[in-house]
Amino acid sequence: MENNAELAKYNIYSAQTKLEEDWGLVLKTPTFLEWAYNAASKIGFNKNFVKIGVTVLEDGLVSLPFKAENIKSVTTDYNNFLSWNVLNADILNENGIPKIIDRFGIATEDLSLNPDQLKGNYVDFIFENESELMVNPELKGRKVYVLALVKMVDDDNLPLFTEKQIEAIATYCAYIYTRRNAFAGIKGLDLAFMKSEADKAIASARIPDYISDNEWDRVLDAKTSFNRKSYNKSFR
Amino acid sequence: MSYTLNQIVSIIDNNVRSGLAGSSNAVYSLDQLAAEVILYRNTVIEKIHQSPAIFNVRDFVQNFNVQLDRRYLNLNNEEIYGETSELHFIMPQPLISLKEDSILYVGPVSMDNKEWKVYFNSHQIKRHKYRMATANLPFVYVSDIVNEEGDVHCWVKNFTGTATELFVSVILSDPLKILDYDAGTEMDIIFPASNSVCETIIDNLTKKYLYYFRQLKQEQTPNDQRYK
Repeated sequence: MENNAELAKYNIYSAQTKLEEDWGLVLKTPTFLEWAYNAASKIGFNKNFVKIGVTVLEDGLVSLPFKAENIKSVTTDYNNFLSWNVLNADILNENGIPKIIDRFGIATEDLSLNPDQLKGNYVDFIFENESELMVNPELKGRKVYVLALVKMVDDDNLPLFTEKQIEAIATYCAYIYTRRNAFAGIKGLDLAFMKSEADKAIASARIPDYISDNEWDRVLDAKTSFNRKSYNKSFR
Repeated sequence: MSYTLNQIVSIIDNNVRSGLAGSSNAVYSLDQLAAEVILYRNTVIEKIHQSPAIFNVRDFVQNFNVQLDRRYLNLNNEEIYGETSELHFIMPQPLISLKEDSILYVGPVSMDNKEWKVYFNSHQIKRHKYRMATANLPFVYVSDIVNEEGDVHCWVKNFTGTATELFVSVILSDPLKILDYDAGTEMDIIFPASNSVCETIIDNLTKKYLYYFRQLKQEQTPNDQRYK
């Protein structure tokens, strides 16, 4: 997550060990993964922004070199990109656009100064699958700029979580276990108690422990329609 | 302390003979007693399986390696499964009433904490691809048809690696079937049951035998050729 003050460094199997140590439950891995992904989708996966410029192929196909979870925006430059601000003339490509190597080692042409915004005109798109978009076929040969969200994963392609999220996943799995036992008629912990425990842990995992100043800056920018530096202060 | 099957049978036999001493000369086969011990073990497992707090699957599993080969899998004559041969292995019949709990681990010999999903139902394997998180992971289909040797056929699907054998950790319906896998001799294999289960088996089978033979003990009557 951009501007996130917390480091997501635990992969999903940390929740399995947490479940074994804290709750004494030893689940089979395929079962655990199903439950854990269910919990993670409630909590929200940690995602990173990736910006990339891609040339539109035949029939308006835009092929992404990564698996996108969400698409934030798709824009195209049309003919006015040369008038935009550029950051550093030393790393410009032949079109005058700054080159940036993203985390996948792909050279992208980043047009934006604001990290989660791309300049240019918005283009209608259809999110076909996780690595393919469809845009207007008339854009064939042009470059579109895609701002996408991808899951934070480790070297084994497993999603990464913070400590609170791991705690919440383990608690949710314990709740599902109790629920399954309740349906099977096996006595166990009170289902309502476990439900409230899981809900508490999930709600807590959604709140960051610490919020960086950069993130506050972005939040306040979004919340105030005037210069917040003068908010409630007189500069006369 | 761990018991072998022969030790358990011997303890029950001694108990029964001591209990019947002087009142009956019951004769029974030790093989039959061994078969009853195995049957009673399975019954006890099925009962305590309902109580997760006291059921520990590791007390009852037996571990062995199985060899992989290829065999056609034809489910309901559907083309999708009937066309190509699949990775296949044979193992003794698991204690099928526990469903998937009867198999603790099936997967690579390296045991890298990624056991494979096990299905006993042919309809379930067709839905595997719709699983949200684990659709791409390998899985095993255990057929519920037992062949004449007491073995079941199993197929591995979705597996892209190379392997010649798999490691299996399973609660067997007949613990002695592990002898087919060079696990030792009948004399020295440990009976796969916890101490409390062994004690329950010994206690209950002794009671049963004593009760049966005392009940059936008939009065000796002289053959004097008269109507009674």
